[in-house]
Amino acid sequence: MHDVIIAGGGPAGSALGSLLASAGVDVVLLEKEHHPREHVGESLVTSANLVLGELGVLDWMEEVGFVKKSGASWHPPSGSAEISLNFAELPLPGSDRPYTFHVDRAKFDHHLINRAAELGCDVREGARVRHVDLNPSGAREVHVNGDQKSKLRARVVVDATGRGTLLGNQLGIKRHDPLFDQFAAYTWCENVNRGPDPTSDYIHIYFTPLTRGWVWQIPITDSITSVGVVADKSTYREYGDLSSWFWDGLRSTPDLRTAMHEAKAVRPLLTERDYSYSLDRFSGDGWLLVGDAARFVDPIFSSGVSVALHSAKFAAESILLSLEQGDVSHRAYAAYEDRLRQGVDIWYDFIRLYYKLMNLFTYFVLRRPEHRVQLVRLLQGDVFDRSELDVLKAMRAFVRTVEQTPGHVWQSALTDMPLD
Amino acid sequence: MRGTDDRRAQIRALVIDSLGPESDLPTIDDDAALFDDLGMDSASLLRLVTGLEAAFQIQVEDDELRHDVFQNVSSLDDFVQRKLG
Repeated sequence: MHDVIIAGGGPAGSALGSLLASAGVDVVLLEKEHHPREHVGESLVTSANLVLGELGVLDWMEEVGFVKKSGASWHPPSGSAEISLNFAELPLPGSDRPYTFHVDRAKFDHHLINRAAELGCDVREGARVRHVDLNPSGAREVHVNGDQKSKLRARVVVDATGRGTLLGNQLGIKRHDPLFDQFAAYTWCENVNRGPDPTSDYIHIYFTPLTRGWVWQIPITDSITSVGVVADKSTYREYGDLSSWFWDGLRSTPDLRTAMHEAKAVRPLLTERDYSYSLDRFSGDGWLLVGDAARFVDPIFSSGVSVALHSAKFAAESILLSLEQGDVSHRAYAAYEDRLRQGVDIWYDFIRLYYKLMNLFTYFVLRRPEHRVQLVRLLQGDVFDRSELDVLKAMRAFVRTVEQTPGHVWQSALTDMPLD
Repeated sequence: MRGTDDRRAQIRALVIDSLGPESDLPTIDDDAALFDDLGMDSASLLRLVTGLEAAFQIQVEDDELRHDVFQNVSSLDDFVQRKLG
């Protein structure tokens, strides 16, 4: 019997495998595919550096040539403007550099899983976990298909299967978000006009006229840019044709036309939908969820990989303690649950407020210099181990003022996103 | 009255500036509707509010961003006069 079995070899699973193996734990990592493999979610936030540094991969990220990400820019749907925030305005405590990276996920994820193996994790690719017998009073039994059909036993099982949400589905504890129903189409393009320095390598978000609509522009190499069109799923249903929806989206605002008028796709269009959900619990007797397998909200703030890495770090700490104390019951993981939930709840609140404001967000940012500091930190993923944020309160107050002032010019600009 | 003419001219100029080079207007009527006629949007409103605050040393509160205030140059002039008085 092993100490820990991790299902899923993306950033969360690989980071957890690395941290546990480094601590001498007998840990097996089961990945269904063979790396390298493509994956969506290519821009990081600087908080990710904290865990990447612990994993010892930051130097490699510099050397391999990922594009440095120093900030974020937003463009309104009409007129032409660019509101930018530079992370160096407020470097994240603990981060040794005021920037992070946009990544080719195939390369990034491949390196992370190799790192886990290098640190002593038993990594098995082509091993798809089909089912887990949770056996509250005994060991967890993991049923594996694929190249490595087998049954493995462990004291603790961690679901790092991402949006596949293995245990969420198995236990029936996955809840689709009642407020978010977005649809995304994306690909890699050449000839994107990323704009002038110093913001050309920022992530650019373009608000579009579609309901909750926006476009991402993420530099991957000198010539390749990841481009994604996102909007409420209903807008796609009305269109019916994926290619038109995508390319019309890239022509739908003045700034998008400037950036994308020569863009040419170098890969087929891919889509994502039904990606906003939470799980009722993040842990149980002898099991935990990390990364997207626990919760995913929305890619608008590039928080996913940071959440994956931080959840892996928190899970590693909890698991190590539970193994030492010989108690792997759900009580041992209550602190992990609270810690992760507190952080993702902050992201959720921030994302909801952002979607309420949409392009009024940029107005808010510029009119609140006193909140700029907190905003820059929040946008860098500084959500864990902290209490209520003034900037979120201020965003709510701004929304309330707009809603409650008779004849306010922005009433029609607010979206119908409920805030409670 | 010289003072109020100056103020009104300043406000007119601020509105024109805020609309940006693409609006291409040498001058505007004092009763032209900022949003409906002149195409003001969030970016240009932001420029206008910042401009008004700098030019007249006033603070435009969030709850003052109302249609009755930001209707046209005349209504803006009344607003600024009230803030200064």
